[in-house]
Formats: sequence, structure tokens, C-alpha cells
Amino acid sequence: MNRAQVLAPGHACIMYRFHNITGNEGLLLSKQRLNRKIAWCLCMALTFSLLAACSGNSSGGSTGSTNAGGGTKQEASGGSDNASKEKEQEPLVLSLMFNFDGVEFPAEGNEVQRRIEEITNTKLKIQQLPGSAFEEKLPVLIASGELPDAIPIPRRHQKLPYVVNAIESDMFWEIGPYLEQFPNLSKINPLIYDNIAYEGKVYGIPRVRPLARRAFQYREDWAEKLKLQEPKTIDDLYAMLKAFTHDDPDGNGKQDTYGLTSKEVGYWFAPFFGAPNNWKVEDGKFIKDVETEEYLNALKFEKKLYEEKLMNRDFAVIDRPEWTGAIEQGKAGVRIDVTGSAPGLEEGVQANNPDGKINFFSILEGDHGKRVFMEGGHNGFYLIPKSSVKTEEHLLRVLKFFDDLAGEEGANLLQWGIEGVHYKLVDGKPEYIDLDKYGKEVGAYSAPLSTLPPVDIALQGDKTRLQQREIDVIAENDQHLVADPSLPLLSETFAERGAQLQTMLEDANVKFVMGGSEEEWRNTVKEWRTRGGGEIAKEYEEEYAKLGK
Amino acid sequence: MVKDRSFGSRLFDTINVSVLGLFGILTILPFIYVISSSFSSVPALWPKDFSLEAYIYIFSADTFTRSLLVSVYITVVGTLIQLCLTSLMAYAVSHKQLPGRQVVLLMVLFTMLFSGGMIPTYFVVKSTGLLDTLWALMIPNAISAFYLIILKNFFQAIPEELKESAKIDGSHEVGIFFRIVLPLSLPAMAAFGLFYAVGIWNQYFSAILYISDASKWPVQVILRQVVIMASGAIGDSTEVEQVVYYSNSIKMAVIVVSTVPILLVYPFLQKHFAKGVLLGSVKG
Repeated sequence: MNRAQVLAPGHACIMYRFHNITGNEGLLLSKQRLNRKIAWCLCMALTFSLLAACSGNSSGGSTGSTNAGGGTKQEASGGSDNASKEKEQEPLVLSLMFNFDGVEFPAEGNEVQRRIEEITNTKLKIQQLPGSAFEEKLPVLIASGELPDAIPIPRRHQKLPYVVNAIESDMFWEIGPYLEQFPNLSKINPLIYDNIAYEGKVYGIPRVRPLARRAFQYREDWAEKLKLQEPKTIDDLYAMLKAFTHDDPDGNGKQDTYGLTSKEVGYWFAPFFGAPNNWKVEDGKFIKDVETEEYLNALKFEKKLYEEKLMNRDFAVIDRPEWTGAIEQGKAGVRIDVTGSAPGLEEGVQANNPDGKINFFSILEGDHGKRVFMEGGHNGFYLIPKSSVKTEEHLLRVLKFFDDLAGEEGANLLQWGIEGVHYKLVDGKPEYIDLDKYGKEVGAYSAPLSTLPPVDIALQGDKTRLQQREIDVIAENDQHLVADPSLPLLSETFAERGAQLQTMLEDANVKFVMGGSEEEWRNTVKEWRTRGGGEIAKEYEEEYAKLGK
Repeated sequence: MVKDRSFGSRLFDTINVSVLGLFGILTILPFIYVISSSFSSVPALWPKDFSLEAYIYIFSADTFTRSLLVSVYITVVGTLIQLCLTSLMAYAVSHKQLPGRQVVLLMVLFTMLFSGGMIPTYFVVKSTGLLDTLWALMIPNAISAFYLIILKNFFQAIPEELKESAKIDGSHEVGIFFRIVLPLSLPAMAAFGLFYAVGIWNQYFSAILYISDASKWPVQVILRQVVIMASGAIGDSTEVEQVVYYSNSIKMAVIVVSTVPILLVYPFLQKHFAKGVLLGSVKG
């Protein structure tokens, strides 16, 4: 059963880490389990034949919602405002399944859900699962063909074989051609649609988030105390880390602080040293980041931080609470996370030290100008299965659900909740009445169901210092994006062995930073190429040429 | 008792006791650690700032209590079903004169080595209509091939004469099973009952696979979720910013509450394990 455990450890935003998913396979090879291995082979063979059967037989395995599309023909070209036409239509029965990681999901028939149904003219049937359980169950659901009307694919599963196979066997609607009918969905940045395309075709509705959101978060009060400016270059940051370590930023007379609390190495500083974002293309050839000198330079910088004890010693094994705790408890001064997590961090800091302040930045300017790595720009995407959504009309109505929810009214509901219950208007500006209540009652819907970020569309409230900062940083980042050319490309070798290969590189990075030799590291990189990295590059090259970019 | 024990013998005892004692401590320490951490503000072997907060928190939401009840229910009912089915089948195949016995045993043996795998099993559960019911957690694994074979051998070891004696008194096979064989097999039933109970209690993956209705989740699913969230290794589809981090003491309290009920079963069954029930039943 381990095979389905897709429990990606650690930080949710690191594209690299997910390759551990199939890492359990090695375990299955032990002698006693050889039988099981054989059984797995048989089982996989059976699975694929079943998959083939499912896609061949579109009438089987349908859920209860088949009658929903049979209403009058949908006029989807109209905006969300022509309410009179919608009134004539029966509400669409829409089954959804998504992740929920809070304590208790709101009970059925609650006010917020009723409002969502009203805005979108639907009747929702929601199944919610804890994020980790959801990810484990997803492969089985897809293989069984028993799917709700729309299902979110987690970002890190985008290129896993089970998703790619399902797409290739035509299990899901290609929505690209319909998008222009939807005023809101068509507003989503085409870059993001490109990032989730399979062989150039768009199947998914992305849950949009910023394209570049990595951020260095630092103790602003410490910096002020030591008369340090916000770092603009790598040298500035180095000076700051040094001061945070040696110049007693917390003023207790003891040397009990350090600069950076890090969770892994090899990625953070690469853009500022000029390294590519995962891969770069030169004359149609794919070159992996680790194969460039720039990447090694970035790694050497981290080695220096480690050797001079400016960062934590346990970066390779630390887990999230400890890592965050180091900042919150005033042990470390800088961490690298994402723009959106700064307010939460500041809250944690202030619980221990009321004067504590956090600020953050994304870009350190180096010899290569301003650079920041672009991610997918989404946190997973909804696919619409053909097994449950059988007709085009039905598909258009499902798309309309997401489109309506991304409109002004929908965004207001997701972002602020219901007026008088979750927010009130003060001088025309919304203000939360009880943030906890909002989180419990609305948060369970707003995070999984948002496509365009509601915060951009909804009523604008007063922004806190950090919220405003986030907007500014993201806006600046968008000017200096460095793309990962492999994002929209598929590679068979990567699907099979990418995880092990990536782990190999990560281990080498850790070893190098903790005192390994450069030669050893270079040898690992070479080994990486011979053991499959080269094939991945070749497969990307072919795909890349096909897409004609 | 020998009074003058040799030095060697005493040395042996000393080493024996200290090594075993050490192992004992090694096994009990994690328990103590978990339990005391659940009452403590920081993980420790002895609670620091003793508080019941974690327990109050986990029992404040229905989720946990409900899942605990579900777990108890499926463990009790499931174990009964499993014991009943396993012992009935084992008794049947323990009869050497049963026609087709070898074929049946071979088929059972086959499932020990090869399983259908996750997705085919899911199809079976789905098409038998068990999906989203608690039966899905009790029926699919109702008979363990391994336990079946051990139990069969156990039944075979019961002296034929006992069964004959019952037959002479006019009992039929079902009577023999319930009046003679089953009472004699109580230690085995207790042992397998325990194994089955622990197995059901600990299962979480089948619950995740087969049950979508959150109100039917056993406690292990909740436990796992809490542990994962507490260690910060959240699912990928969840935004980091929206996660509720559970504190360490809550994690430990959940572990305690989800482990203790099944631990409590052990002492009650233990007395059955060591009984030599067959002693003196056949003479001559």
C-alpha cells in the first residue's frame, strides 16, 4: 500500500521535494517482498487494462449527476449578470471533492454554502478529505473512474504518471477552446495556463497564485537596532546574517542568535548567482541547473554560511515547526519562505516579543541583474472528468460555476464572507468582524474553490503593512521572472526515475554544504547525467522542439 | 532451591536481569514520553507546566469523539465477524474427509502470496456496494489466510476421540464445533481475536480509500492527520498560509487517546494465552 502514500514532506512550495513520492519503491525489493513485487506487477498490468477499459466505455461508472446537464441549452456567453435567464434554469447538481485541513468542515446547508449555490445557480455536493488523504486517494479514484464533476489535481501531481496517463487516455475535458466564453476564467494569466498544459492543450482550471513568491523574511526590529538597511545584494545579506549572529541583535549580552534558519539548500540563492530555474535551453539543448557554474557558486555561498555558523546546523533534517520556531523564539533572524506567510510569522514573533517586527524581500541583485524564479503560478488545478460530465452543455455549466465564483459577487463572498456576519462596511471598506469565525465558516470554501485570487477582485479593505508589502513585492517580481522551461514538458524518464535522481542531487548538495569536496559533488552530477539525467534532457529537448517554442 | 549457587549462576542472573530490565525500560520509555508530553508544554519525560489543555482541545470538537466511537464499533463488530468466519471455515477445512479440501486450501494459500492489489480491491468494494459504509472496513479482510491456516492446524490437533465421544452421545457437527471444539480453542480464539482487533483498530488506509463521509472515519485517520499537520508536512494542495498547526501536546494527546483503548484489551485476554486446556482430556 505504501505505493500510494504521496506524503510529500516539508515545505509545500518547493518544486523539488515532491520527487520523494515514489521513493518507497526501493523498499519493495527486499527478498521477502519479492512476491509482493510480482503481485504489484500483475496488479499494475490489471490497472492499466482497466484504465483502458474505462476510457473505452464512457457509459460505465457514472455517478448520480448525469441528468444535470439535460436542461435547456446553456447560453454561456452571457456574463454573470443576466440573472433572468439563469432563473429559468434548474440549479445544476454539482459534485465536488477537495482537500480540507481544518478541524471540522461546515455542516451541510450552511449559509455560506447556500450563498455560493445562489450565486452560481447550483446545488453542491461536497466531499472533503484531509489534504494528505485526498492525495493518496486520488490515484485510486482516477483509476476507478468514479469521479465527481470536478476534481483538483495537486500541483505536485501534475506530472505523475497516473495523471498523465489519465489525460492521455482522454478521461478529462480539454477546456482550452471554451475558455473565451467565460469572462473571468479567460482573465487568468495565459502563462499559467501554459504551465499546466499537456502537450500544449489546456485541461485544467488553475487555482491561481503569484508566479514568484519566494521571500526572505527577516526580523526588521533586529535590523533597525543594528542599523542595517534592507539587503539589496548578496553581500548585504551576508553582512546582515553576520551581524545577526555576532552583534547581539536581541541585546541580551549573550551570543545566542544566528542568521539564517534554512530547511534545505541548493535553491534559494541560485537566481542571484545567475543559475537557471531548474533547466535552461541553449541552442535547443537542455542544461540542468546543477550543470552550471553559477549554481555551484550559489551552493558555495551556502557552504560559506554553514562553515561560518551563520545558518542552522540541522538544515537537512529540521521540520517545519522547529524551523518557524527558530524565528518566533528569537533564535534566528532570517528565514526563506513565501510572501504570504509573513503576517503569520510576525504574529508568532510578537507572541514572544511584542516589539518584534517582520519584513521581507524577494530579490537580491547580483552581477546578473534582478532575477527571480517563476513557479507554476497555481496551487493545483481542477480537471473535469468525462465520466461524470458527459455533454458539452454540462461541461459549460461546470465551467460557469468556477467562472461565476471568480466574479465580483463570488470573490466578495470568498474573501469576506457574508455582510453582517463575517464582515461589516466601515466607510465603504470591508472589515472582518471575527476572523476566526470567517476562517471556520468561509475559509473551508475560499481556499479550495478560488480560481482567480478573490483578494484581487473583491472589495478592497484596509491593508496591513505586510499585506501591502506582499502586493508590491509580487508586482516587482513579475518584472524579473526567470521561467523553468521544463514546466509544460513531459518526460517519461522523469516520471519513472525523476524522484530518485532528484534525491541524489539533493543529497549531494547537503553533503557538499556540510563539508564535502567539490570533486565529489561534480562526480555526483556526472553520475546523475549518466543514470537518467541525460535521457530526461533529451526527452525535454524533443518535446520542446515539438511545441515549437 | 539450591542454596549455594555458583558464582557463574549468580553472574548469569545478574546479567540476565539487567539486560532484560534495560530492554524493558527501552520499550516503556517511549510510552512514558508520549504520555507525559501530552500533559506538558514542551516534550519531556516528566510533564512541565502540567495541563489538561490538549485533552480539552481534542474533545471539544465532535470530530474526535465521533471517530473514537466509530473505531470502537468497527473493532468490536469487525472482530466478532472475523473470528466467526475464520473459525467456521477453519473448522470445515480441518476435516480430512471434506471433499475438495485441498483445492480450497490451495486457493487460500494463493491469496497469502498474491493479493489483488489496491485498485482491483477498490473495484470489488465498490461493486459490492460497500463503499462509504463501515462494512468496507470489516468485510474485505474478514478472513486472514494466515490465521485461518494456523487455526485449522490448531483444530486438527484436538484429539479425534473428543469429537467421537460427542458423536456417540448423538451430537451433530455443529454441536461438536460449538460445544467441544470452540471451548477447547479459547486460547487460540483469544489470541486471534486480539490480532484481528489490533489490525482493525490500526487500519487507516482502507478508511481513506473507501470512506468519503468524514463522519464515518475511524480515529486513526484523524490521528494521522493531526500528526502530519503537527510536523508541518502538510498535503501539497493546502496552502501553507491556511494551515492550523497543532501543538506538540495535542499531537501526543491524540496518540494517547487513540492507543490506550486497544492497549486496555491486552490484560483481559492475556490470561487466556497460557492456559493448557487440553491437559487431561484424553486418558489411556
